[in-house]
Amino acid sequence: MLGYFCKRILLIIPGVMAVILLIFILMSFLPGTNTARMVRYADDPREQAGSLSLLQQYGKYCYRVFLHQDFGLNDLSGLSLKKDLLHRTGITVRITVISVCVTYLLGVPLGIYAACRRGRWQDSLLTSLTTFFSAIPSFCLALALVIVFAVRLRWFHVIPQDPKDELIPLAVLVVIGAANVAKVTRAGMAEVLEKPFVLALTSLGLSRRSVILRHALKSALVPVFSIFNTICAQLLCGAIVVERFFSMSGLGMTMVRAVSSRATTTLLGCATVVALIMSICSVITDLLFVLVTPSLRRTLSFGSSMRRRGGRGKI
Amino acid sequence: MKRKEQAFFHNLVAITALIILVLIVLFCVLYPMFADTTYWKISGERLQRPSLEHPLGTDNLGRDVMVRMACGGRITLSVAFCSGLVAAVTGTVIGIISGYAGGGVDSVIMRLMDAISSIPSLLLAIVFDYALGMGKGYFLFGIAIAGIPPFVRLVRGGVLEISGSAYAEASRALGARSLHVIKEHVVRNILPLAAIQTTTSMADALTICTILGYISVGINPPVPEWGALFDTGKEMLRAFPHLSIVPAAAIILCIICLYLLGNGIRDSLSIRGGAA
Repeated sequence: MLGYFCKRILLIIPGVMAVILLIFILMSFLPGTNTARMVRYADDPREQAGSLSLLQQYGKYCYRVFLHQDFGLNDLSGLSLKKDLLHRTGITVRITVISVCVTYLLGVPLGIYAACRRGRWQDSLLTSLTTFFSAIPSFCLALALVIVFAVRLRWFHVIPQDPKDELIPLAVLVVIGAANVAKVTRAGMAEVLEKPFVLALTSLGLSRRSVILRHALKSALVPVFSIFNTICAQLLCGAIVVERFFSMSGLGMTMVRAVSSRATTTLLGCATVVALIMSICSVITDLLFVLVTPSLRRTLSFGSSMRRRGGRGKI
Repeated sequence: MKRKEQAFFHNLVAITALIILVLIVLFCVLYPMFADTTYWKISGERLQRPSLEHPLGTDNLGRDVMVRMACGGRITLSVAFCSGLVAAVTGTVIGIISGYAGGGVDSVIMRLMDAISSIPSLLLAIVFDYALGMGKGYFLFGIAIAGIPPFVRLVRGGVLEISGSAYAEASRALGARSLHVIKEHVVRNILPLAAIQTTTSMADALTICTILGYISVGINPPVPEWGALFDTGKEMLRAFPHLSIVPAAAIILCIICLYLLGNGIRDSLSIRGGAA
């Protein structure tokens, strides 16, 4: 199993390289892009600038990114992009990680509760709430929360100044994420509770609490953990919007600004970092998946198709 | 088949959702045709209150908000529906190929899908818009491509399950070619599942489209879009709350309707199974 995950972690590198290649190709189509010099480097000799082909530049970029962590120069400021990216990634990653954790801590219990109260008013209330909150776009929710908590109640600053003020952006992400997690947990749990083994355990005299928490939960969590990747992607997208809304200078804001000012190097750097983060999330997804499916631990030698088998549980 | 459709039409919630969606689409298509102004034309005093002449008032430049909502809906909804459909068709075809070919083709396709689903759809849309020309609507392909992987996984799983089943085996034993098996057994069984997934990915595409409008990427200013309308309305929230509430309500209503439609299809399916 350790070997499988080592392989999986090493596979991140070709994955990220594929994303960089995709962006290189897409950008070269654009009329007006300087294909001779896609990336600006600090030590670029002026006369040599036009002599590399696109593929060579791609190779050089990957080489520099992976071996020297050199992302080139920020097109807007002319300073090293690496420092800039580190700082901005920190902001975005902090928001995303905290909100993903809280999302799961909140969403899973709510989903289980709804599944156990299936068909009663608590279930219908929770189901309609989750449908509503997963439909509401993050910027609308952000505005609503700001009006209520920052403008009317004056608990927070409208534009985050203290660490406390970050609670509103976090709440936006958590509400949207938790709604989705709760929805999937409810569906998974409701399905498991109808299985014969639950009836068998109940008739053996086990308490309902122990049946649900000890035995049913493990199977119910399979679809919940298999969407970990999706939830991370969703909250990362949400983070971009929330950053823009609250004028936080995170990765998303940088990326959007890079697009509007046609800063190729910056956009490429941001995309590389995002691809890296998402690859790490997908390794974590696989790890969580193995944790909840014991049968997989045995068959891991054929492991490449594991997530797909579980992915169908969502339907 | 008949029974499933009947079950769907008995589902009052799903039908209501469908009717609301159709009404919204009709409004977006028809209203600008009969209004005597267009989305870019300044048609009166700026920031008017709602009146008979301007049912939702005018915006900060004096343009009629009702017309802008309808034209914005044309863009938002067509992006959502088109990219959902493109993703559905492409994903289904790729999924069938992947499931049937197996072996090397299958694993290459699935690796590719893993790579695509590891890029957040918003980023993909932004990059497509940036790389293929801004403001020309190419971000639609970004959204569509981001929607493909779930379809491929769903359909591939279905193909593997059905082509291994006894009746597919029997059909093959009777001399049916694989194209016939795909058409008669695989596609028919997968279509309802794909329909549910289509509503979900349309809802996702709608969200992404409004986010793009909100962060003003992909759609250039005079052209209205619900997310962009919300963004401009936000500036005048205190005095003219309807300027941001109406687009927000429209977005939420459409997404909820799409969800309910998907749920309706799912419920009508599970009646056949007897469960739930």
